[in-house]
Amino acid sequence: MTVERGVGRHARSLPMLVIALPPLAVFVFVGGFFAVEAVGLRPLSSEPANLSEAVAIGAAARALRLLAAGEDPNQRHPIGEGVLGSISYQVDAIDAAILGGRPEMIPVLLEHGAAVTDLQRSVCLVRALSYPEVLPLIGAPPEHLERDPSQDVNDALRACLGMPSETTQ
Amino acid sequence: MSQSSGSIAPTRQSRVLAYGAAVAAWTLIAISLLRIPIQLSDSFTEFLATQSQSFWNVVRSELAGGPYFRPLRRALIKILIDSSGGNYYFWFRGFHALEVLILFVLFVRMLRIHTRAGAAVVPLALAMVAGMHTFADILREAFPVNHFLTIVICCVAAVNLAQARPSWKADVAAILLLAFAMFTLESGLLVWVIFVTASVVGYRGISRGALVALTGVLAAYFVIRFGVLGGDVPSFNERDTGFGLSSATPAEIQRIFGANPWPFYLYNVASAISCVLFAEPRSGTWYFVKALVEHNVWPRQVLTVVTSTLTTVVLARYAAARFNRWRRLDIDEDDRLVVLFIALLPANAVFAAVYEKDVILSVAGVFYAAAAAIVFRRLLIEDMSSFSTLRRTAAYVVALVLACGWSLRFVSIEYRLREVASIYRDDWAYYDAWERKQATVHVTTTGEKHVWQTLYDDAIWRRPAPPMISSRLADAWSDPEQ
Repeated sequence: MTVERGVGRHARSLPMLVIALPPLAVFVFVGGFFAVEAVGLRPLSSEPANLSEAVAIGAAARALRLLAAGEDPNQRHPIGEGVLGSISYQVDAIDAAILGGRPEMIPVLLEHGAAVTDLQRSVCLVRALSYPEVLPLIGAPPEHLERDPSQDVNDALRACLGMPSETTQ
Repeated sequence: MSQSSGSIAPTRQSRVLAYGAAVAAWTLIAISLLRIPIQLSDSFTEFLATQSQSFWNVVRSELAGGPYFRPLRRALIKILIDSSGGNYYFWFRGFHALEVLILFVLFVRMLRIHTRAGAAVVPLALAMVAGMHTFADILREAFPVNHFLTIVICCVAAVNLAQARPSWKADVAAILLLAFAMFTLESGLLVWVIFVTASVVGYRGISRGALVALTGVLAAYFVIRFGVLGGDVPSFNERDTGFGLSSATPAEIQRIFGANPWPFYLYNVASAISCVLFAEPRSGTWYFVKALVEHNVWPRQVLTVVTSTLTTVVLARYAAARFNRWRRLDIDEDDRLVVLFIALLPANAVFAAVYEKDVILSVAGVFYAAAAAIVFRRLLIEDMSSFSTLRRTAAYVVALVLACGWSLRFVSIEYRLREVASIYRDDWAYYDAWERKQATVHVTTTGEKHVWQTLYDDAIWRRPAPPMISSRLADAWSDPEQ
């Protein structure tokens, strides 16, 4: 009798567990994630490592905070592999905005002390990416740009930045 | 829920467990909500429009007729602005989080938990509410006040009143609630639908006299809005809207339906009903079908459509088995919420006739979760003892798939809340570019400049964004804004 009652209770409890456990497990997981962050750990974090990375991914608020913290927008910072495709770059903030396809960042950067440090290089990047609408933002004369389909974009970008091309690496 | 369960536990213990789950789910949502700054678009203009005017001017300016009639919408914002003493972040973001808490508590109360089985479905029901696609914008949109959420609270509060013991206080509260809801947003009229349907299905908290008075208030609304103020209804071609496999511009809608808009209205109402039941289409666009056609289906689309559709199948099976009883108005305590949802769904869909958007269906979405909670408890927990082994195994599999699916959708909304926390901050960083595109935004007075500076500083400096997370897995499985 007692055994039967015990089995019956388990039989009744199982569907309740099936229904309740997944959401409760998820609550614990999310709560645990917040707790881990609260003690300063950063699981799965993709925080930009520096100003150029922040600009390249369009994290404007983060970029403003980095500028306020003293990062020099005219100094070249590394953009790690995986942030903008498989290539890593070493660029200043304006060139990071061009590479990341974030023209809206350029006026914000100019207003906060950034400058076009090398107009020729920036224009070269704009040409490589066929991005004519950026030209007036960096103070360059308008051009009609058409991408040369035979040219590899990554090779063109590397050439602008003085990096060895993939074929010569 | 009724006491019919075989697994009787003390009522108090079950309720403690249920409300404990509500507070736990709310805490997780609230942490994410409080990391989001007040957004720039659709919000800053509300501050400018209300901060320098008196309360009565704010209300009066909304009584000018036109296609929308929402005299209390900005009034609520005005009350919070005046109460905040300039601490907008704390008051407005805190109010958002507080409203979610009120909703969760009223939602659990509406489920009337008496048994351990009833308490067991509460975490899933809350995950459904938060993870429901029609609820996503209620959490993601950091308006000064998210009025869609206010209306959802009013609707759930209406059921709580209808479930209460009959008293003159409940009657008065019902009338005030209806007046508040319908003067806040048009979809507040659903509160009247709820009171009437609740009475039909057997809830006796509101007296017949009060139902007559509620109907009088409803009639007065239409007389004031259309007779006295000369109001109009929104035009069907005011904005871009989802249609078929893509979206259509107002000009396209005008060209197709200009002569006869009724097929367009019917399309939107049918889409709205389908959206709640099957998570497809979304805001009028058949994204999942399009993805299938293009062989470009994301896991998140499968997750959303499958969990919603499977839940609807379970609901439909339950409703079909009880339909004959319901037709005779033989509706037991548990079934009342299910019937209420079925009645509310088309009524809510009507509000999407002109412009279909997921969040318009947030009321139906929350009642869908409530109905599902009742059905899961009865079909997948209480009735299972009478099943054959094969059916029981199938029921376990369905229960597990649904519980895991909706739980993933809860994690998904947490991920997207973190994402918008960064996006809204970045919007403020681009304020100058945004202002140039606006024809009507001019920050000129000292008061306006102070409001701008406060909101800007909150977004950029005072409340740093939570760490950005990059996870292909999370991206693939979490539903973005559609």
